[in-house]
Amino acid sequence: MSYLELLKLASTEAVVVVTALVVLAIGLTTRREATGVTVATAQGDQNVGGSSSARTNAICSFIAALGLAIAIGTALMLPRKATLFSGMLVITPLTSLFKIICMALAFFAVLLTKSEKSLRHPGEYLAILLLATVGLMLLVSSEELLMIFIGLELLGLSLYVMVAFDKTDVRSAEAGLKYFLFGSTSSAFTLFGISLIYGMSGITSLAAISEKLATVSVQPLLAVGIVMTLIGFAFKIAAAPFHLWAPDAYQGAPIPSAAFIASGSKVASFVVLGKIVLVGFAPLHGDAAWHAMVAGWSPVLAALAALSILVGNFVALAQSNLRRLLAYSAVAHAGYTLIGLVAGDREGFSAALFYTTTYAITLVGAFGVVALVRRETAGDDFSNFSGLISRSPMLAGCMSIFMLSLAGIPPLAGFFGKFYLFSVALRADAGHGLLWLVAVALFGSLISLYYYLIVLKVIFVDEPSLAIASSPDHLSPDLLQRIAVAVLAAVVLFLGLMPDALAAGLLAAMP
Amino acid sequence: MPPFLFWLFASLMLVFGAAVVLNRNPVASALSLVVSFLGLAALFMSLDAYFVGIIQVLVYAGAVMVLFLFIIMLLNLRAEEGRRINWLAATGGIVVALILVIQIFSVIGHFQAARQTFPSLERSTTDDVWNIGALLFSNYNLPFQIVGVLVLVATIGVVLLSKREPR
Amino acid sequence: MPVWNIKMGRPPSVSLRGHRARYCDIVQRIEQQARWGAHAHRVLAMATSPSQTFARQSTFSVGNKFHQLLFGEAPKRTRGARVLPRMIAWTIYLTFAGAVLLILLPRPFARWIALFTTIAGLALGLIAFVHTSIADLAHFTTIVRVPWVPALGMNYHLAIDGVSLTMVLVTGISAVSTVLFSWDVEHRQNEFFFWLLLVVGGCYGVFLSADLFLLFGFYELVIVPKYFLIAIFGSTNKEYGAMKLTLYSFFGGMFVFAGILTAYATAGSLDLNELSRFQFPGQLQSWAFPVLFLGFAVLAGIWPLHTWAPTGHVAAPTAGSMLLAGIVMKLGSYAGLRVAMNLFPQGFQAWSKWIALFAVIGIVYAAAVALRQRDLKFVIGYSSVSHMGFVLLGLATANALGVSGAVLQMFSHGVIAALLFAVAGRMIYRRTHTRELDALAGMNLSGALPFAAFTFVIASAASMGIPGFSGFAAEITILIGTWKTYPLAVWITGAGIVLVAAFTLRALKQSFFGEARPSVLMQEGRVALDLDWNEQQSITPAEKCGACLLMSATLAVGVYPKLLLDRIMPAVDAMRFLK
Repeated sequence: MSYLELLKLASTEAVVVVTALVVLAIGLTTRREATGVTVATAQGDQNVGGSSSARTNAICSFIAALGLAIAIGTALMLPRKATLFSGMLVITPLTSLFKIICMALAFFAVLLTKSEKSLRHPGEYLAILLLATVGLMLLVSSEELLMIFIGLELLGLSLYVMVAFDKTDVRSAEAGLKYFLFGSTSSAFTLFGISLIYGMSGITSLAAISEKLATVSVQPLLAVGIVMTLIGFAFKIAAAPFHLWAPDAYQGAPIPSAAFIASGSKVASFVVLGKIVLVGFAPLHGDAAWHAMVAGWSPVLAALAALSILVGNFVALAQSNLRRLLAYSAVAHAGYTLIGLVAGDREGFSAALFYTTTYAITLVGAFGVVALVRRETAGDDFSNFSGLISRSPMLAGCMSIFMLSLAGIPPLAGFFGKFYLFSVALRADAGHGLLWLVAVALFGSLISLYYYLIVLKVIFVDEPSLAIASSPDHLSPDLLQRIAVAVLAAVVLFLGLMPDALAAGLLAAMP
Repeated sequence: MPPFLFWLFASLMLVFGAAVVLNRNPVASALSLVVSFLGLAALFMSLDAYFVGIIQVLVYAGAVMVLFLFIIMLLNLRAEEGRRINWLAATGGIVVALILVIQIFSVIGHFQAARQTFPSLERSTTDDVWNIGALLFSNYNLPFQIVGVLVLVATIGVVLLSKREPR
Repeated sequence: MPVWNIKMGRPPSVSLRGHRARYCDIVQRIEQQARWGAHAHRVLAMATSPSQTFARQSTFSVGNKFHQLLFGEAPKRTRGARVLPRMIAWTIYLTFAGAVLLILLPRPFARWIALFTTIAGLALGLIAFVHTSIADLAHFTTIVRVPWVPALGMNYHLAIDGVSLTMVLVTGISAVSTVLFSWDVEHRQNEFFFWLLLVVGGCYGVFLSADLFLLFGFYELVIVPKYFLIAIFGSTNKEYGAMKLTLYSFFGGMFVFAGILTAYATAGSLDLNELSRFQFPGQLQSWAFPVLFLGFAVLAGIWPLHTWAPTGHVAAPTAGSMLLAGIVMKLGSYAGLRVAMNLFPQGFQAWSKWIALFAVIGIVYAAAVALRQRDLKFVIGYSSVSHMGFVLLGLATANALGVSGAVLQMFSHGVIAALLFAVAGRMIYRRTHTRELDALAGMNLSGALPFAAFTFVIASAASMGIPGFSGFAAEITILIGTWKTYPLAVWITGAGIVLVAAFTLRALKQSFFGEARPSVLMQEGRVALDLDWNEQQSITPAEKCGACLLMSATLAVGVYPKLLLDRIMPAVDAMRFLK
């Protein structure tokens, strides 16, 4: 394996890393000028510093976005199939597709960053965001436990920093600490689980593990290994009962970080979780059918799914802050998505991936709206959204598309996603053994409708509260962000009307 | 290595690991950590992993711990105030932890391979360092480089989060 | 040979079911028997052929593919006749296009766009009504069929038969009159008509869908706009009413979702025509049918899950009530007929007596409750529930006459309920700002609003089932059908009809023909309804047009019910759940 070939196959990751370094360098050099100016003019430092920081932000975001665009281009030019180092870096149509999806999500997160005025060090922030994207891509494209763990850690470390980035906000620090503590504990569990699996099979490549495990029955030690490994991923996808960090992180973190955690991190985690259970642990599938459970990972995931759906939806009912509400709904959506993995098979996997992708797109858009509203009203409680329709019909319309897609209302992407997931789950078993799980999910989505409708009621029906109405209506110049939100809304609508565009691509890319 | 040495080092590790958490004085905590690392290094050596054992001593027990102590001294940290312990939560935590420990022990007890002794390793003609280096630059080249990126993230993060912002 | 190539007019054979022989020729009946028999696979192969035939025949035409996409591919004898009925698919496209235009264009255009869109929908329905031959309406004839998600077997598949054509017509009529009765909505006008058109378009979609996924998509699509229509533009207790209505609808939707998934997972197809030939296992039918039917029946206002209807009607703006009672409630009964009963005939036969029981209870209970209401809209709301009980009773009879009567009742009630709500919500409430019967009784409105009084008398007569109006034709058909299956139910329902007459007459008398009390402000010998609304006292031309449209519809069908029954009965005959 020559370095040149490695560079060629890992060119996408390399481009993103180089972009991150360039952005970091620009951030460093321009800020020095800015501080110089600030020192010189002691009086108007706030103003000058602010505008110079905004300029840095603009340059850095532009370069980051450009780098991601180039990286997407290189991803398109990757060979159809290749394997490096016995599965450490695998290139298949599926991995290429999800690399592109992850980079596109990161692209929108960069756009959100551009208009985040309060961000102190945009260069560093964007660099870390890009490095986190590298983590996503490694997770997506690796079929080897060691590499997966390094990818998880790279992603995790970047996200801890991104969550705690806003040092002027106490809640950001709290969120960062919580995320870090939960995250590192769950990493330890995963590492322990992986080491047990390695001990049993003597190898770290997923395909080889599956061969080794095919002859072994489910014995206690293996069960411990599987459960411990799954815990780490349950944490990443915020499945109950490992979701406790999510509300604080979603609410306290800077908005681009929250959007990135909710979208990119989730998509990549589902891809890799699916690969681990469906490829690596394939012989130990088990069965989650009612009255006919067979030990294996699928009963574990089924239990996680049911619990997440119930906990997420019920707790979300009590929220009055939009970001917290999105966090609990994220827990519920993780539960829905897990159903696809429980159903197993390529159909189930592709249903889960379709669902999580559309969910990620929806959440980035929703956070975009939250960011815009927060800029105008300095908050993201329900009261800040009241009467949004009269202030900005465009944002209100986009938000309703996002919320209704999450609720699973046609003709939006979420509706098809749910139909796909549930139908796959029912078809997975001839006797409709997973009907109980589908019933729980249907019940959960009925509950979820209530709180999504409450959000829409606040936006469309309520009168704008006095404090917001009387504040001077400064038209924010963030046209770019508005366009981004509108594009995302259009994508959600398009994927609902023409789901085949993504679903067929996913099925074709499935091995 | 005779079994009693294993038990000695393992218990040394656990006791001092607990001492890291229980000590109120940061300097005492840091020194306990050193002892814990030394025990770990001894265990590595007992598995014929000399290189890892040496690195454990040099890097962790040596360099990292010195940095820890430096920072503790520089920041002039004093002993932590005793906190009131929520006994209910503590009991719950201990019970859960105990259950986990018992489970793991019983599981390992039932595992057949755990009762057999490992065949001893063949003496390799090349030394450890050479082997590890060769692996790092051939089979494990990609993870090795990615770890570099990971360290970069950690560096940026630490600098940013600990930096004092001008008001 | 495709079904529709068979010419009508062959000599009818002697049959025990005389009325059916009039509409179905021999071949069709043989084919029906074959469909129930062991030759299902052969018939199934035949069903897909027409589209292929048509495609092959017309490959020479330029832009064939585009043409096919727009107009679909139902084979017909002549070219003109081929295009026109297929135009009915444009009801959906035009309505949604109108909705999009409403967002884009400024306010002055809003009500005209809405009016033109709905009129176009009605016109398309009428064209299809005139130009489609009855033979084509006897089967669920494909209009458009385009692959949508091939991996899951989803098609964009629209089809029409007598039942759906009837429902499309009532949708068109209600939609036009609804827009006319909302002519003076000023508050957030564009948005109002936007939501309104979404509801209408979704209803068209449900009535024309021949793909289960598509049907369910349109079905759920209707619910959310309804919420906004009520919560933003409604009146009494609007947020509560809207939320209650929406959650009930989605509660039903959850069961529907479960039932549809089960059917799909078992049969592996979503095409309604294919599914209605698939033999589901009996044990599955016995639990899947109630799940699916109950889900649909919630929207149809089945007792005891009807409580959303009165509160929803009261909370809704006039347009909302008209649409809700006029068409949205019909979605439930239509889908119950089209999907639940057609897919699970054995389950239906096992459960039909329970449906009949709930329907009868609904008829009598709702009528009794209506008798005690003080709010005029509550009276009409409960009367809706009572009338929908007739629909469910007709469906439960499981014979051609009863089910056809149920479809006719869907049409009839759609028109009558819209008329009643128009009078109560627009003509009265808008001018007097009260719907309390006690207050209205003191106003003697018949003097002040003679046209409204006239309309209300007609509507009440139709609602009570006076001969000559559509209500009579529908209810008598249902009762005759019921007599064959559940004689006892007819007696109880008879009592219910008396109650209906009682509360309707009471509402009529109190609202329009009460004694004028001296305490009520008089102006030039008439009641001063509302000082701010003096210029609005007389009924506007828009209101008159809307009312005339609805009244003529109920009269036309009442006088000559064969107009619709001729088209409904063959279609019902072709369904397989009949005993």
